[in-house]
Amino acid sequence: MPQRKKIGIFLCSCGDTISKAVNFKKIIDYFKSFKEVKLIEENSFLCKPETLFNFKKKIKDNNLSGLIVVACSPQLKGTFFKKAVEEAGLNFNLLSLVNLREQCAMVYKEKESSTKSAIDSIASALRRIKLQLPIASKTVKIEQNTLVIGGGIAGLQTAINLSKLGHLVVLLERESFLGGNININSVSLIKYDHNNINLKEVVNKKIEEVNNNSQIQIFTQAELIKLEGSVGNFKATIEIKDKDRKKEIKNLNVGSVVLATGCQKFFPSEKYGINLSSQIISQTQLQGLINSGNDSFKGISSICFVSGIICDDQRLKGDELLKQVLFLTTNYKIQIYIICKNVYVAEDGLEEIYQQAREKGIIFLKYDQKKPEIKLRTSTNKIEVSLYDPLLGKDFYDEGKELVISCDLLVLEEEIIPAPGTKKLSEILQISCDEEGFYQQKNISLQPVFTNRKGIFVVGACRGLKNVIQTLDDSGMVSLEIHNLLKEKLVKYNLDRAIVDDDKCTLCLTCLRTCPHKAIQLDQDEELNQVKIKINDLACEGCGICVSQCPASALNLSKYEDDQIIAEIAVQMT
Amino acid sequence: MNLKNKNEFIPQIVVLCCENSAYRAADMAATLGLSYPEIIKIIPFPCIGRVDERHILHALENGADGVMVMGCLEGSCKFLDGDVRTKKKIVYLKKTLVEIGIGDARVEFLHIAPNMGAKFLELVTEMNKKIKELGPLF
Repeated sequence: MPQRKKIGIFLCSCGDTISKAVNFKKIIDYFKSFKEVKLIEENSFLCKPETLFNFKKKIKDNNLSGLIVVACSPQLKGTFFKKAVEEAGLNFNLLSLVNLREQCAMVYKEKESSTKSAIDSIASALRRIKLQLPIASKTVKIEQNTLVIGGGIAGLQTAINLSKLGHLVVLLERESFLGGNININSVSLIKYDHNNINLKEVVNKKIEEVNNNSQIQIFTQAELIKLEGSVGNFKATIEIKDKDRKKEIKNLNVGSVVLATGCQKFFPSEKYGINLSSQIISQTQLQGLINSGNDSFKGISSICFVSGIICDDQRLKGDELLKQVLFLTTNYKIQIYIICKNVYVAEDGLEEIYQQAREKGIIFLKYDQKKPEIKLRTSTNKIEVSLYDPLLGKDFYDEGKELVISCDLLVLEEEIIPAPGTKKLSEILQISCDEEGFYQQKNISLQPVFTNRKGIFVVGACRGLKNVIQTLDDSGMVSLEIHNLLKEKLVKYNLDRAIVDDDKCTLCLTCLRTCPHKAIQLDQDEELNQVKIKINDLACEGCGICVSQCPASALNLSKYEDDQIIAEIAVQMT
Repeated sequence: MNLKNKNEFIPQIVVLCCENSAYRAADMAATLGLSYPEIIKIIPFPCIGRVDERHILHALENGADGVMVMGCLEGSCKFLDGDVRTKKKIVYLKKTLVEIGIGDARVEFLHIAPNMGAKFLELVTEMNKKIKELGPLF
């Protein structure tokens, strides 16, 4: 039988916030009679330095082995009291916090009911603290280098940032050159600044910086084919092709992985029902024509742009389109029509460009539910687009009139999709993808660069549409997160994560499938020659989903064991 | 068996809270200066996915008249799918409760965000009213 705990109960009146709503005298009288309660006392502000000093002293003097602090919400002062208890030489799990201020004193109108509720909560904490055991901590050695996949602007910037923070970086690029999308005609896919900064120069500078950095190791024509282990100790297998297309396999030990695989443009002919020709081109092709020089627009007097047919979200493409048309009107004096659902100007400086475009004589036409029809008239060799503009009013169409735009060249917008190989990589890394095929972030607003696996991060356009400024922000964010994670060689952590009882485990693998963070793996025990479940403590985040799903009750979460939860519920009900 | 008069019946409601959302919402309700109609018992969980059917059945067995299981808003679970899993468990549990004659109104799964203090009170009041109409469980 375990030794009876000596428990101390510290009540905090929080000035008079708690004491005026709850009858402290009644509580003290009630708990004095309990055998295991060695000490029960009232303090005015437990979080004040002087009172905290006395609190630590009393723990030592009375040789207490269990503590109940009755104060404010653990969300506010939880870590603060845990730290104080550790300093007094007691394990943090031997402390139980009762939230008397927020969830009792402040929410009940009558003193009687709040006192009753307070007694119930303290009694259940008392019952629970008897079941709580000290939680040990463990130290492990981790790898401090990072594997960055993708040599585009996102990957380059992340590698530079990490090397500045003192980490070794391995940069993988599938192609034989660095730079990513910057090398394709779709330069305007990436917005850098509204000032005329040449993006290509910026990227070339970054490539040079990466090449000259001794902390960054670059592998071109290399792909990740296998990843084992978990955060801090990933074992990556990469395949490198040399000039003669010979394959070489290399094993690397890395602490974290950054995905910066980016996106690509794709013309969905099936969705449009149109094939590209000399008169119907995509936006990338148009950019190619612009880049190639003066003669490309000979004999063209009008161009029509149609956008919004395949997808509504044009935050980035709107910017690209407006820049292209401004360039064309200024330099070639071509009449331009833009047929779209809505003009999206929700970004810095876009409104100004739109105004300029209107002033230059570009005609914007709106369509609604009905999609514009595209026809090629062979007699005049012109393309005709007929549309239903709701702004013209119903009368216009009732009279049998029709709005038809005829032009020499038709430009259609493209879809932005994840880079090829994104799906394959997500399967290798066991991370989830969203509906459009981009890597899914853990929480879109709180943890945007995290994935469901700890230690694997996503940067830039591979997690959704991003322009260059957003991508650079991302890489800064990721670099700091990785530095935070891997700054020290040895990591100390508490063993308050899920624990598996090998005797009860029937190897049904339910936990392996349910774990959202893929922290559970199968492990071969070579001594006993059997397979068993292994939970990686660093990757486990202690959510307890596997514990409640385990059909054999073989898993346990030491801070939230079934016994403890049930005891807490049972005592609260009496 | 405790046969109370329906007029003086005080419902015993257990609220199983996710520490990342509902528990904070309860704190928020206090900060906003709101007050609960009757005593509720708040039990914290690291994620609502930790909740087991047994915990709810234990609560009902030990004298709870209603159990509220409160998790994060859909799609914003810190641990990706904890709320979805527990929601499924509750659907299954409700079927069992109907079979044994308790009915499916005493257990409810609800979504809440940490900044929804007033909503927390609203949901608790609603549950309180519902359980009061149903009367004591045992």
